[in-house]
Amino acid sequence: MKRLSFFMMGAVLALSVTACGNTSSSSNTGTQFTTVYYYHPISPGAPKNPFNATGNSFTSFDKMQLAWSADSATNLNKFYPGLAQKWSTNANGTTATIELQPNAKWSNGKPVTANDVKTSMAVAFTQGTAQSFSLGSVKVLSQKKVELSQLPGSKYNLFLHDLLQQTVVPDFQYSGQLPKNIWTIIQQSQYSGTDKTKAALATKAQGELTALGKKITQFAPQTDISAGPFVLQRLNPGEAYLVKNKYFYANSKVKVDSVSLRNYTGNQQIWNYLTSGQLDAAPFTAMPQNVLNNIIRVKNNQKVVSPSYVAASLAFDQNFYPYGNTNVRKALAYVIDRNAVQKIAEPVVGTPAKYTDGMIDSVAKNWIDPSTQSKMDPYNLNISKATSILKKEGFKKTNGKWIMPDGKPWTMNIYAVDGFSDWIQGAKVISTELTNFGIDANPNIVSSFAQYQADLAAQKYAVGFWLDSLGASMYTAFGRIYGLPDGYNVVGGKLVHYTQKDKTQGNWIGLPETLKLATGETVNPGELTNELNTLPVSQQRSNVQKLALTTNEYVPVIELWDYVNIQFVNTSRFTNFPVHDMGLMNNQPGVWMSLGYVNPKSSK
Amino acid sequence: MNAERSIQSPKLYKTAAQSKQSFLKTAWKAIIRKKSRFAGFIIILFFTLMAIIGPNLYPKELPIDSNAIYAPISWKYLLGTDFEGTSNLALIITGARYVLLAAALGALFTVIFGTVLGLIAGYFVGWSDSIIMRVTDLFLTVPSFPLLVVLSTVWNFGQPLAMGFVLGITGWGGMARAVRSQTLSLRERGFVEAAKGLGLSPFYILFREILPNVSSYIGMNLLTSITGCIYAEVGLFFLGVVPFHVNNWGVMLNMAVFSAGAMSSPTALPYLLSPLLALLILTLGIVLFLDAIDEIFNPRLREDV
Repeated sequence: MKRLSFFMMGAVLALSVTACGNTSSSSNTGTQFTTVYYYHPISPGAPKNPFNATGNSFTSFDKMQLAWSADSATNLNKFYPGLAQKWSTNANGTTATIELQPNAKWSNGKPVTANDVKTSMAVAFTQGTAQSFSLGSVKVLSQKKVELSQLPGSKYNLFLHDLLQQTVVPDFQYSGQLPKNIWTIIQQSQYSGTDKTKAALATKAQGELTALGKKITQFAPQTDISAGPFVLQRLNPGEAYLVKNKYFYANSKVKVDSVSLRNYTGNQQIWNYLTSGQLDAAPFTAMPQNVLNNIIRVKNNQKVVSPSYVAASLAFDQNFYPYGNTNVRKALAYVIDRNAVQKIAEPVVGTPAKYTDGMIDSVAKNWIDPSTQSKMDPYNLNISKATSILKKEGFKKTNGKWIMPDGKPWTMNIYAVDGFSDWIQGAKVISTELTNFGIDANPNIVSSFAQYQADLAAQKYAVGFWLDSLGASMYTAFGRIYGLPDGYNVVGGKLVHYTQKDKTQGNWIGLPETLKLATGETVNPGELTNELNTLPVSQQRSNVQKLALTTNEYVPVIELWDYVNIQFVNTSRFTNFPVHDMGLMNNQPGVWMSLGYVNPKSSK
Repeated sequence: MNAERSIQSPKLYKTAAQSKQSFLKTAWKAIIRKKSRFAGFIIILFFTLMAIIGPNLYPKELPIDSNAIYAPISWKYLLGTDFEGTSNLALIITGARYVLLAAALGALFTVIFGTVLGLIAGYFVGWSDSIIMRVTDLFLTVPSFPLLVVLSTVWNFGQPLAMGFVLGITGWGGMARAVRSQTLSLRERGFVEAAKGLGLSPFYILFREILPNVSSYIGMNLLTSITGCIYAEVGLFFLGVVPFHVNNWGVMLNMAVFSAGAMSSPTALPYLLSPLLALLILTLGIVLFLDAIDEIFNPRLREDV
């Protein structure tokens, strides 16, 4: 479906682009930088709106944040400046003061002001993001200075971290989409006390914010207004073409005249761009060894290896029979040969996961004590153990096929996303392994990642792939399991749990709220994860170890492989890539350029 | 009718068994008359046997070997291996059943829908013709492959019957129009008039008098529809719009291009070329055999008549 509509829109736009003749190509200069946009493909029919899931807005190029995270495991508050020139927090980190770049302007020449930040935060409330970092109020101190505070009573560790990464949009473009009493609605929505009148008002206000959120995502601005180093000039099904923003606050540092973001619908198109030497830089892309060899062979292509905080896992919706049974999930963990799966699915940029613990192994070694690790089961390949567990649970094997205790044959559809070559191959290998074991398993492909996430949240898939261990922060890492996917959300600064009965709240994992560990301790993984919000890093160890044990013992996901981040740069046309600054390298090229990196070769 | 038959002499009319034997003999003569026809026949027979017997030669789940990923062509792996280290030849052989069965069913549905509707529209004319032809126009107007892509999002193609049925209901339009044209021409002929005069039922006339006269065309369409159906179903699997429940040549193409990088790396080329080779040989066989079909069903073309 996605492809069909894409091609149809593409045909229409191709005609209009053809009609434009050579206008576009004539504007290409020797300093055009070519890459692909990491977060989503080009969407010709989508609006120039950063809040639209497929919007044609490109982070670091024309879509700006206050600052750019260095993604450091040891210092989560290490940032590179964006629209914020500097920032500070009070002693307990509940209030942040931001000073904007004095020369920051939008691409129409109007200055970027504190009021833009305030409007952007109001929009963030309509998208649900401001609630997630417990934003309470925004106070404009001067044209270039703004103070943001957490909700009274809240103490969220990543307040500054999340706040600095919010999208900033112009007040003159977006305020018209919000009602004049937006901050009253926001305040009403934040009430979490026992007063029934106020609680009813809060529910109504939350509904209003949700409705506004939909309106904002559908908003289609006429022109691209950018505060970044570039501004979108044109768009066709093949590329988004951006040109230098003459009003950018660090315009003199940007040595690239224009940026071409090539469209792609799957990994193989990025491989093809790279093997033909067309991309000056490319983000991490899963690939087989033969493709990597081809890419490296191209003149001036270089690979850059940087840390990654992502693992691929097989996740279960426990609402589906028989996956609500912990022992069934354990048995499956014993059947899957993770070494073979990684070798086949992700041979180049992955390592088999040693433990299912909610973290990538390189991070886990800094957090997990040997005594805790000794209690963990590595779930090494052990078919006889899996067989014994299943028989104890009432499963029977007839003619080489497992029959479930309810008398039905055990079949399993494993869902992956079209274009995600490593997931698809992983799903195929696991299917083969499970089928050989006696479970009739098949890979199934979903057309897009957006569709996949929506379907997961709507509890449509019993078994599917999931990225966990996402990020250097332990809260973020465990939030991939014991956050929204398991029904936990922070509303008004308080942790709320939604059961699987409410299919609108995105709980697709469905673990019980309290779990008893083999150590005898009873834990609530959602609460433990939420506490990581507020605990200083030095005090998080105990929670992290309990969560790791919980993940290992209850297996809400089976971790398959840890990714290793490999990016590519080509030095044929540009030099001075930030290859020695891994934090910067993990950001988009627009950030590199705004800090003075990426210089055209003199011959160009 | 019964009285009429009772006066027929057994010496003058062949029994059903004799007639069948005679048909097979004539057909065989037509097949072996030219080397190309015989080659086509052998190829079709080979693929048919592959589809029937092939999957029984291997375990249901083919063995994987992570130490033989994209192994080159060798005596052990005559067509190389895939991303799991599974033999491409085994994939081709075991994948043939779904591909050919779905295609055969698709072609069968196409021919049945097209022939029945074409005969009815051409013989009865009037309002039934108008209705059938407007529906036919609709199916001819809607581009069938995009329609299949859309249908694939709501239809489960786990079984070849489902795939065959969908291929059939999207592809019968042209067949119906052609059969209708031929029926319109035949209904004015003397033998049809005579049959009407004898009081034979319209369905007897349609299926016993007119149908044999369009059988050559139907037989050829059956074979060409098979190739069309193969391309369509393999195309759906190649695009990845159909969940790949089964081992299939289209899945091989999809995985070779979109996961193995076969378009940019020669290492995975055998994985891409194996299903293409199978498709090429099968299509060649069908094209070569079409010539024989024409002669088998069209007595005027028989050189010994």
